Amino acid sequence: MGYDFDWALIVQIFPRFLPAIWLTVKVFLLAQLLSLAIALLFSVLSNSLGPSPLRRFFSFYSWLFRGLPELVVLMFCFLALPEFGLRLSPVQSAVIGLALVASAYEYEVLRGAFKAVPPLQYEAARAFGFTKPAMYRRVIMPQVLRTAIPPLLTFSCTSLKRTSVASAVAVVEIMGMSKRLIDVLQKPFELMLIAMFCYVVLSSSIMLVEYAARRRFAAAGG
Amino acid sequence: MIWSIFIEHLPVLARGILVTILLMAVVGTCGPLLALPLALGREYGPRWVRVSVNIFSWLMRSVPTLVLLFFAYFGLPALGIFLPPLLSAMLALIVSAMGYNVEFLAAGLRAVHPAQIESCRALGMTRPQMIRRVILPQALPVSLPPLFSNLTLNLKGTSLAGLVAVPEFMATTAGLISETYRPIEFLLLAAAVYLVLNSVLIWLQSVAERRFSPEWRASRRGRLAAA
Repeated sequence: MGYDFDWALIVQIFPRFLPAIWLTVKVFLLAQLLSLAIALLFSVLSNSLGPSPLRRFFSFYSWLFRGLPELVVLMFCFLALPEFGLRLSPVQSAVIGLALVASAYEYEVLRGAFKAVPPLQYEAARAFGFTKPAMYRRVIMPQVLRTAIPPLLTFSCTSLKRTSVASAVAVVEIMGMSKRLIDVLQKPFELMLIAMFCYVVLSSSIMLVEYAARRRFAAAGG
Repeated sequence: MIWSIFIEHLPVLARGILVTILLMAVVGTCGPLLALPLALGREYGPRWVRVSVNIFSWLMRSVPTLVLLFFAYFGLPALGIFLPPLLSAMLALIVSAMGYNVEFLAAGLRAVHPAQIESCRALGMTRPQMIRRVILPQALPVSLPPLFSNLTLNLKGTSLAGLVAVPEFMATTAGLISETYRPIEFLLLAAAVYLVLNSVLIWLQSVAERRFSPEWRASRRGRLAAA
């Protein structure tokens, strides 16, 4: 092997990664907030409206963004939207692109969770004289979220990993930072180990939250 | 928008699509096939196999595919292993797909009723016999739908291989965009191509699920008996 491992480099270079880790977390959280808002809005509308053109649009939206590679969506936000006169910074276009992709998956999870609520619950809420907003807030959503939160956390782990694609549209998150440092330092092995370590820690913490949520909701449901 | 540029660049685009299909075919067949022994080892193997498969699956599920691609492309040469970009990308995509595939296959194996295993033992079957004749025919149909959903994710994952010098379709598209300054046309084409490829996969899934369904197998048995 003609490669000398420089373990000291890992310790030495790690502080350089801290802003990149923060950027990854920020992009992930912003995309997560935006996508959950879209998915909630779409799923509530689709559940309360019944069959309508709007619902067909939602299924088309979900089919489209689950079918497209994230790289295509991100490059579209980054390269094609400016042609339509919409100027976005790399981070903004990454957040919007990642949110579009994630919202399609989250919409499907929430749609399934709405289906899992028995119709009797709606009838009972109506019989008790709940208004529609009150019925959703007090009766339906608590049941929907209980079913949906564990799978939503599974998908958020996937979304976290998807943020690495943002490095392809000039966002200097963990992956973008390691790419740059590989070019400068020519130490790919050590740098990729740092990147792997960062992602393993981040996604394992989401997995732990998911494990706790599953146990909690299983106990509450049983 | 000018659509004639597609015809102008047709040979390059076609080659990109072929490389994408090749990547997907290799990853789609090798991923589940290599994951199967791991899943069997985790469910029926000794303790050290179980622990190491668990660690492997956890690592592969927690690291982004792009990181694995970069690791294979930049990291392996550092270890003295020199592979052409296409091969190292295939390796990374297969390993990344295997993390999830192991979980789906193991879930299918666990779905087989324990009484089935006890009956096999009572009938004096050896373990390989039991796995081949009783467990797998019941476990594979259960694992099939999630394996295919993962395959559509893998198809989308192949687009990342373009970032490590594999001339697949997305790399071709990015190259043509910087050559012609026409992002909208080429990205719309890329979207259409990936949606068509995905629809083909979903169609294959429905065919495979039908072939594995108890009804189809029963009807085949009926036809064989009649012949």
